[in-house]
Amino acid sequence: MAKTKYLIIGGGHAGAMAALGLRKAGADGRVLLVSAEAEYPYLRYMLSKEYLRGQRPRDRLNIRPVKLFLDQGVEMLLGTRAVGLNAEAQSVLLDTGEEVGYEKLLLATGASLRRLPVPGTELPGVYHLRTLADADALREEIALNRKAVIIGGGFIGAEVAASFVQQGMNVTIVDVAETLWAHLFGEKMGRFFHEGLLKRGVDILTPVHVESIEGENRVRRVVTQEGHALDGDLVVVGIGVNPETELAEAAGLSVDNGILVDEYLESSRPGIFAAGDNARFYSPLFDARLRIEHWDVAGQQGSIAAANMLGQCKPFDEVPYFFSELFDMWVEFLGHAPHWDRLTLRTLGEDRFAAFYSQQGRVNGVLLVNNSKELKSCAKFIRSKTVIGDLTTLEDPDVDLGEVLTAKPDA
Amino acid sequence: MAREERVAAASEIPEGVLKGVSLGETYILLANVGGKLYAVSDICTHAECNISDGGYLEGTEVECPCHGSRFDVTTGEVTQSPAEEALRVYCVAIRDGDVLVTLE
Repeated sequence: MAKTKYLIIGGGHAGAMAALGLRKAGADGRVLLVSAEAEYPYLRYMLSKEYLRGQRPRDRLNIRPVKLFLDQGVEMLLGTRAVGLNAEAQSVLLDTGEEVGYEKLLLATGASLRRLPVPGTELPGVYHLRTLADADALREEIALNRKAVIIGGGFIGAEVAASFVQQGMNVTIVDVAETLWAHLFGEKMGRFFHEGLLKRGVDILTPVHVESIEGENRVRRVVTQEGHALDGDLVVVGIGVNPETELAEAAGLSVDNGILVDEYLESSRPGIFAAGDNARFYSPLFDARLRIEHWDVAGQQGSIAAANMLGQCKPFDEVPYFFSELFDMWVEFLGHAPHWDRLTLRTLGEDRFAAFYSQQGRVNGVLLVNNSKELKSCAKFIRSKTVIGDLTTLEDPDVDLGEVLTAKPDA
Repeated sequence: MAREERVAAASEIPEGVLKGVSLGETYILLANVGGKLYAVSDICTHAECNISDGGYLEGTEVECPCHGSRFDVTTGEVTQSPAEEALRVYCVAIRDGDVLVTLE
């Protein structure tokens, strides 16, 4: 049996940053990263954005230059899937039949696509977007100027729709929710994005439920339970992902909507860590278990997990952050605000604002549109857990956010 | 008072190369564009990532590895959002093969 000191399963952002992070944190000994994907770790978030629009060359898509991984002595086994985990024996079985023993293991297996349980999804012209190969296939379709139906108007669906329209295509989003993104940001802000997409040329049909995808040799239309038949010769399904937890479950690790890990990203089995989309971690900042399916958190957790694989006891306590891009709107969200009793809007210009999600005066989340300038103040604010007596202060664009945020809580 | 500090050997930063250095709490990005050396802050003004940690140089532009903000290293100016504020520019000189940066 082959042996490695550090074994990382998964070649996404978390896995890549963990591999480099191990060396940065002083690891000696063998570092092996096993990835089911055939590519070196790449900037997955660009697949629905610049890369899909042909604005990002392939040779600028890697997370880090391949040479850096090699120089750091990170071994990569690409196009290879881990199919079994024996936590007792501390070994992982690969689909090549090879078994690899480890001292410390990181599961950074990400998430897998949810499939639409309707007839017709196997038709040519029906796509998901998760991998570089998916994006490459979609780029070829864009060149043919298809008429597209996007099933699901979440981040991926909306971003793909925007990129398609920017490439001159005709696009309709269908979604089960009446207002896109209302489940993320509430009805008011959801409406802002929903209308923003309409205004910029995306057609939206909601609330509808897809009954079937039809066509003979290729997709021709999408039929809804409500009786619509939408013509289209390209369909992209973006209805979310599920955490990839199979290995962990089979090995008896605690799993509940993600691999359960503590603030050090260590699982119920000492020596086995998880980071990224598949990890449901304890957040000391919010005193809650969170699982975040976003780029930044995955990378940060990879780095932190690496330090902890070396016994450095670093908690993951970043303010969760994610971003999206829709046409000319750069969208950012900071924090964690599943509930709020007040939404405070700070408008700085047309389509430029900060929206504060607060509960009992404590701001737990901030949505920023075209307002990266205030990102750092907002992050510090959420981290400080400051309670603001008079939230209306935040509405005044002339008030310096930094000063409000550093002011003492109201006595 | 301004003071000059040695931060690297000039030979460490050949043409087209970026290098991050630190002086206490000050993080500086050195870039060699066409044989001339420039020094700007290494902390992206967008989300405070270290640009040298995976960023790359293309012409006079540097791209932050975190969210793709771009800056002109010769002026510090933003050339691509999400960053909105320019990077601070430092005076840099090469003397006897040493790279010297002027700090306030």
